[in-house]
Amino acid sequence: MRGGTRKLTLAIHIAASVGWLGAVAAYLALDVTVATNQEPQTLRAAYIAMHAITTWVIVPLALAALVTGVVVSAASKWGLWRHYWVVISLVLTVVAVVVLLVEARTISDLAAVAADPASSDDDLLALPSTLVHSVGGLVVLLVVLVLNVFKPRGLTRYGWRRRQSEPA
Amino acid sequence: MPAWVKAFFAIGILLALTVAAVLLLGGGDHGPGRHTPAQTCDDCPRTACQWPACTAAPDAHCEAPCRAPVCLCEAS
Repeated sequence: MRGGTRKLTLAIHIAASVGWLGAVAAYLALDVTVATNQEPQTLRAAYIAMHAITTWVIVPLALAALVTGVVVSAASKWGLWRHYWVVISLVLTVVAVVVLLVEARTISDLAAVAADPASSDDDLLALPSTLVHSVGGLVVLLVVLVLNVFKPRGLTRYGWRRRQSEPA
Repeated sequence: MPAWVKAFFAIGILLALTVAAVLLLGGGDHGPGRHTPAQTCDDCPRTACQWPACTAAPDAHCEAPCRAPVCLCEAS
C-alpha cells in the first residue's frame, strides 16, 4: 500500500475508533439515565436517542474501525497475525462488533415500544437498561486502546516463522 | 508465549465461564428480548397486543410467556 493511501486509511481508522469510543460513552450516559430515571417522558426520549446513536453512529463507526484496522495492520510492519497484541485486538474487536450487532436489535425493539404512543407509563417503566453490555463494550474498547498504545512484545508462531524466513 | 498473553487468556477464560454460568443459571435465554420481564398472560399489558406487528390480528391475544417488547400475540 502506498504511503499516502496508508496514512489516509490510518487517519480514518483513528477517527472511527476514537469516535466509536466517544459514541459508546454518550450511549452509556443515556443508559444510566434509563436505569436511574422513573420519568416516562425522559425514558421515552432516552430510548429513542439510544436507538439513533446505535444505528447511525456506533454501528457504522464500529464497522469502519474493524475494516480499516484490518487493512492498516495487514499493510504495516506489524502484520495481522505476527504479534499477539494485534491478534488479541482483532479478536476483541470482532467480538465487540458481533455483540453490538445483536444488541442493536434489542435496542431497536426497546425504542419501538418507547416511540409507540400506545405504550403506557407502566410499559415504559418495565423496559430495561442495557448497562451490562454498554459498560462491557466500553471496557473492551479501552483494553484494545491500551494494547494498541503499549504494543506489548510477543511474536506468534506465525510471526516467528516469518521472521526466520526474512532475509537479514 | 509471553506471560501477559497467558494472563490475558486466563482472564478471558474466567470471564467466558462466568458468562456461561450466568446464562445457564438464568435459563440460557440470551437473545433480544431477554431484558424484558417475563410475565404471565394475566400480567401482560394490554399494549403488548397493540404493537404494529400485532395490529393486523384484531382479536389477537397474549400468549404466555408474554414479553414486551417482543410481540408474542396470535389470533384467537
